[in-house]
Amino acid sequence: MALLLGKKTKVLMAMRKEAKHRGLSWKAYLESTNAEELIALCQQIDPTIDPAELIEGLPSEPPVDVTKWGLPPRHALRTDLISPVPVITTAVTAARAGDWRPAAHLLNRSYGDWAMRAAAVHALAETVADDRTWVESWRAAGTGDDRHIAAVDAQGLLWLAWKLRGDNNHENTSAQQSEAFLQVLPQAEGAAWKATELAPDDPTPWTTLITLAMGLEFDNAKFAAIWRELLVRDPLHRSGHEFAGQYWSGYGEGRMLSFAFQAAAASPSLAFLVVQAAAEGEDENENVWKMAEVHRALDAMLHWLGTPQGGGGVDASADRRWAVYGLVSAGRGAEALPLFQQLGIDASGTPWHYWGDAAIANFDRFRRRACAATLA
Amino acid sequence: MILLPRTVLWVLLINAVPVAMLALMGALIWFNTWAFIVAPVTAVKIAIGVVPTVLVLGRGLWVLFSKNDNSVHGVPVREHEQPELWALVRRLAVVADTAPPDDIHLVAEANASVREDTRLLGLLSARRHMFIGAPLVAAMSSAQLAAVLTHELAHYSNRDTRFAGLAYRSRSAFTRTLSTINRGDRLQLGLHFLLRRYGAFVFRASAKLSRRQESVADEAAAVAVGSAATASAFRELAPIAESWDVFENNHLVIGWDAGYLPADVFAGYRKLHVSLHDALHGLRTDPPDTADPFDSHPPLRERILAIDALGAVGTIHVPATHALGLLRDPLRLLDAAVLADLTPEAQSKRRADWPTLIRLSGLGSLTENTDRVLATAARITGGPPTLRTLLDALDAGHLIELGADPNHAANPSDGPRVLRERSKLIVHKALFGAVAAALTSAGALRWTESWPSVGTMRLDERYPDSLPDLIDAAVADRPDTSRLRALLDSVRDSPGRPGHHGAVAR
Repeated sequence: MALLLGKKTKVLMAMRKEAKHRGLSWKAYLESTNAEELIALCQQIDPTIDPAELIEGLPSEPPVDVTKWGLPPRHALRTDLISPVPVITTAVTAARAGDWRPAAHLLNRSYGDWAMRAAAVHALAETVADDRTWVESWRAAGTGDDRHIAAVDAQGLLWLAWKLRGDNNHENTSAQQSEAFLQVLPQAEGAAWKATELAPDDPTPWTTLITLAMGLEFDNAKFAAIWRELLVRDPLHRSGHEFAGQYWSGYGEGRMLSFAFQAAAASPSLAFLVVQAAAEGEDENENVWKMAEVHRALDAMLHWLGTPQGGGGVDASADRRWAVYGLVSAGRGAEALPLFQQLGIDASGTPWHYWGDAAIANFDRFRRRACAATLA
Repeated sequence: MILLPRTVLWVLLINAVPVAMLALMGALIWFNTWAFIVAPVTAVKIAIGVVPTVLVLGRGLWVLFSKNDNSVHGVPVREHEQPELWALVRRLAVVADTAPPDDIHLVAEANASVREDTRLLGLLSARRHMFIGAPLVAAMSSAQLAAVLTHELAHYSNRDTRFAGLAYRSRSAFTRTLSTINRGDRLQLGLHFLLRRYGAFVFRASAKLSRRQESVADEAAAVAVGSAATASAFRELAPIAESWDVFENNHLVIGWDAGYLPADVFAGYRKLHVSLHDALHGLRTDPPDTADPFDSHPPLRERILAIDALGAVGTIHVPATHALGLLRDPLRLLDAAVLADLTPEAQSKRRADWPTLIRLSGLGSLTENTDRVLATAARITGGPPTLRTLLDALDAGHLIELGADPNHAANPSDGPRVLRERSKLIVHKALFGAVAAALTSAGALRWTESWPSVGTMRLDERYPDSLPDLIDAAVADRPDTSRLRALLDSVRDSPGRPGHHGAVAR
């Protein structure tokens, strides 16, 4: 304890020095600094201590060497992996190089496997937002793949809107960025409706509409009508549920949680929604990680990931990401360790990308907490 | 009558806290003094505890008993300048069985009130102020306004019980004390805590009294100007508040950034209020209840029914005119009230009529980034920073460079489509602004009032083009500026009637 006090004083002195260095008052410094900077300061003082023990409110980052648990070192972590599914990675890489054929092949062959199609359209759409040349060549080739092109284009406009806006929160987004976002979203909606007409049995463009619902502020009636159309086509559609959850988050943490509980009761493949909702609500409700329903959802996810269907499916990595986040947050870090080992260097996707540039730092932080939990 | 003991009880309750504090303070002082006489050394020890406590209590009493004055805002309405309004208010005070206000202020709020400067938690009254919202004057009839003012005055009437006015005064002083206690230090925080808890109890205990007082005030208003005028006035309060809110947010300051305020604020407000008549229908037929954390007003709907049920015809003569008719040179006075509510900067704004304001603000927002894009076009092509240069640059395929923002470096991971679309949005807006400015000054684009919207822009009928389509074509992936150039040429060659530019006055 005395040792800890000494280190606290050192950190405080370092903070004062830093404030002086920047020419800021103590108060202004505290307001301007962020958690990452403070953690770096703590680690300068003593790399073997958890910043959460030094400064209340800082995230816990136990000083453990994760490689001893068979995890890759921090510098190896990546957020720019295209997809954990090799065929999607192949199609995206070819599309970026201007070759539309692997994408066309994948979308034709996987039509009917809605989970695969959702993941493929999502990944291909990002390349369309950056450069649409390959889609133009595809259309010009006259392969009769209009329904695939339409689905990718609609999701591509959604991606474009986000790229024009940027990933920053509301305060750090310029008026021009918000304006661009709001101007492109309606184009995405128009394209998505067109795509629903070209592929009447495909849930994918309906998912695009569900995703647009929050940005375009669809009222409940309009949202419900789209939601019904999606469920008719795929009652357990993963990304449809994921973004429906986001829509309900606009109506409060309680609304999002109850939506998640209901979905999780339908299938363990949707149990991740409960973790997503808990993560959304953790700032307002500190007891959310103690809820029995949340723990039951975590159990369901672990069980699901242990089955060949859950652990080997297109969405296995997405499930693992939410499972590790939920397990560590709920004080069950040791159970997250095998999942982190499976995730390896892949720090992409939600929830990590919510942290923007600090995605890797937070992924690493959660890994350390999982490792430290095995010591306890 | 049961109301009298209830009122007395209420006045006692409200003052029990300071009385208890005073008693405790007195007891402590007496005890310490007695201790000094008996055992001075022990008394010094006791004083170490007693003196801070007494100081704390004294400070608390000071907060409670110090002057509780209203910050008087708005524009004073002096009796010698506005004798008709004052005469009406004096007659209303007689009907309400209370004293007239010491002063009247016109304020830029959609309500009216009578407030008093008080001492001793409202036990004593020093000065009575009446505040009249300018929007009410602008949107109500004389009789409706008279009803609202009578209601406010009647809160202080002693008609019902001898202490009713005192009770109302104490209650408002109490809530005001609560809201003004600065919760910065611990003592005040503690006092606030105590008073709030105690207040909640006392107000619950007096809910019936308060409801009764509300209906007494309603009755006074109905007796003064008649049930019909009173009920219609109460129905009109929420619609006026709503339209005033819309006006302040969307219309009043549209020319602010360009350095202008409306020359005739209330002509605009009245047009807006009329244009919103149907949209506000729901508020009129189903009036919402005002939330008061310390009070439980009966629902406005019930009050209106009760007023109607009275069937009062009114006892005083109110001119059957618009409330504006009660004032001499009303628009100047209302304008002053609005100006007093804005930041001091408002004084330096020039005044312009509504079409001019609409044009200035419309062009202002359309041309936000026009100068920057024109300058970029000039830099790229080596020409002057004009609309023609911008069109030349678009024809030459410089869309992406034209939209580049020198202050924000593009994200290195942005693909070519992202860059192009971002530029397209920026250049589209800038070009639209430049074209709108050119067409406006040539008289081909007209800006008109269209309440409740902030105004519209319309291309002269002589030109069949759709402006947005022409702009879209000019910034398309394969740019086509020919139709836009043709429009600009034909406007230049036949300037026709000069556009309405409105009047700008200083």
